[in-house]
Amino acid sequence: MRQILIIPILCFLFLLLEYCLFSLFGRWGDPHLMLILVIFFNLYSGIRFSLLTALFGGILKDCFSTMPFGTHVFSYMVCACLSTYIRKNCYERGSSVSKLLMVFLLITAHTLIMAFLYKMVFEDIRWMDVLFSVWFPEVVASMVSALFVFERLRDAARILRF
Amino acid sequence: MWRKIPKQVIYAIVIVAPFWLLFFNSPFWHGIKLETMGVVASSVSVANPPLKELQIFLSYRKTYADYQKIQAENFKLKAQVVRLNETVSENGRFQRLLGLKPMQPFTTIAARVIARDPANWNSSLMIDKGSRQGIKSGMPVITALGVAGKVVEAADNSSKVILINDPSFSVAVLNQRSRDAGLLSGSLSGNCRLSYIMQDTDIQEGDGIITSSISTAFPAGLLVGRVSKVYSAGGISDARAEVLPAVDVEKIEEVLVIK
Repeated sequence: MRQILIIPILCFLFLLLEYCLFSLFGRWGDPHLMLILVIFFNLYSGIRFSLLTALFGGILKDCFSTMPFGTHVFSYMVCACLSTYIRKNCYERGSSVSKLLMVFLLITAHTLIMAFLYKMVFEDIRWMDVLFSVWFPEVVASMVSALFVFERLRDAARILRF
Repeated sequence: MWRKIPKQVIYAIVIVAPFWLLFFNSPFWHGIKLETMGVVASSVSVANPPLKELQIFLSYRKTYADYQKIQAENFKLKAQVVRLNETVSENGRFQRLLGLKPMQPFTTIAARVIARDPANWNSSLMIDKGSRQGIKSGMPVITALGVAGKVVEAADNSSKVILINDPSFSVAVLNQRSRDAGLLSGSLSGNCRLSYIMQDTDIQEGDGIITSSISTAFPAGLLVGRVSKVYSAGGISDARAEVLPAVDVEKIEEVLVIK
């Protein structure tokens, strides 16, 4: 029950953090914290909490987005399901490399889902722009910060007992 | 309690919820969406004052370089203003002489930026004025430098503005020098693209791009940006030129919404 209360608060804090980092450092200094949070809950609490995070995080992100409402919710939920699949098949408990691999794979999956939804809505999409303006900055920034974020989240989980 | 919910129910929610959100577009749901948007934007704006102070602190070196550049530019602009004033008065005399109607001045609503989209997929921001202050979806948004974007959604006391470099933004434009028409749209790279222009059109780097009179959303003659790169025919899709927006979209703090 405590987790259900903590998830919306964490989602909001992560959105706020993403907003601050984006305002200060632009796209190269803005890790995909919401997706990292979805992965964290999947690894430490299971798919149900991960889906709940995807729902809350997606709604918050969709509030700002110019895409149809629900796009981020859809993408994050698919990523939450995919992270279960990755966890079962190629994740090694306690290994930093497999955590980074998971972040890499899920950011790639999220980018692909968003790109296809974009293509459905706006028809015109330049894949080079997707690669160099969206995927590459997100992967770099997220992989640099992922382990630190996981550690801090684990500390928070220990203190707040969720 | 949470762990007792059967997996099938969870998976059903997973499948149904996103599609429901995407396609269930009732006025009730739209109202909730706008309320959430307003609440989230107002809460995120709490971070703005300390963030601004931090930005000032981090960019002090760049600010000094900018100051020197702007000071030099200021002398040139002062001389230009004197020449332009003369042209404006001459233009007025010719208009009266030919009986031409002067361009309609527009009324505006000033608004402050309270939040922006922290994502690489979109370029949008939230302003602190909404439908209660007379803002409606589709209204053009400008700054002193030129076109900034347009309103896409208006809640009671806040609105979402799609910026000029968002991929879903487009506006009919003219080349200020050659008067060739085209369509300007945003892109994921952050710049704008000019497309649907004739193969033999006269377009050069540095050309000013202004809104066209055929645009239904924007008044004619507003500066949109300057051509930064011209592609040869048969280049990237049908885009013929890349346009650098006149407005620095990442640094917008106040905007004017045209009524």
